[in-house]
Amino acid sequence: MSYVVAAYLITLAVLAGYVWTVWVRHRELMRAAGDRR
Amino acid sequence: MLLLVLAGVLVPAGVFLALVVAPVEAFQGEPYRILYVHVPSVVTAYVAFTVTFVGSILYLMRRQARFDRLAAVSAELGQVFLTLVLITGPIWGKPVWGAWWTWDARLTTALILWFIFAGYLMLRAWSGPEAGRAAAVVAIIGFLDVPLIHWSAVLLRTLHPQPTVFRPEGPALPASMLAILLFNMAAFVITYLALLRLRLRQEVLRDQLRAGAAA
Repeated sequence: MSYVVAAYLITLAVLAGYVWTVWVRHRELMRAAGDRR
Repeated sequence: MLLLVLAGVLVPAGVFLALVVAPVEAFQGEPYRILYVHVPSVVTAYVAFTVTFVGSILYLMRRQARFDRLAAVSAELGQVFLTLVLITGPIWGKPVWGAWWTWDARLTTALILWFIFAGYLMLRAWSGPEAGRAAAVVAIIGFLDVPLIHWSAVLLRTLHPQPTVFRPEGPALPASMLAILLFNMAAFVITYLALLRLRLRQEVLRDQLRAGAAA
């Protein structure tokens, strides 16, 4: 069962990590767009 | 935003179904549950790289930036899901095969695909926006590895099992397992579509900011 738990935790962590990078990029772009205005 | 919320609901629901509701498999026992994240990750990676392939061809034909953006963003997402395939596969292999990794045709061709698209993403990152044409050629050639991965387990003798869902005779899984697997596939593909849309919007904004800075 520990293999199953590890597989699911890593999957969710990788997806959450990617979503976080998208969020960081979003924040940076919004800041850059705000500065331009 | 609706797609993102849907993905945020469907993925945890799929995890619950896979870990709690799905029946135990008689031969493998509990480790088979990794199927419910491994196979959806494979399917989503295939979908993503197919979009990259089509986007790259359209970009070479029409030279419109939107096709280049679509190819680039989809490749990035495909690489995320392919990474999940290459992580969950060995975690499943260890308790079932007794080995984390074996250099059989399917595993090796999947690893080659990962390196091809790692190269593709590095080319894009280091060359800037003008890398579109070269990147499109890399993506089109690299995509040829996808059917090779799928057919390697069918045509060659591999330790990796043959396809259990996408096969000419129909799925080999019992209905209770197949339904949960299809649910998870849908959840992963919707997650891909939600993130694809979000990243495409970001790339449009980035291009507008670049154009504004250059003017």
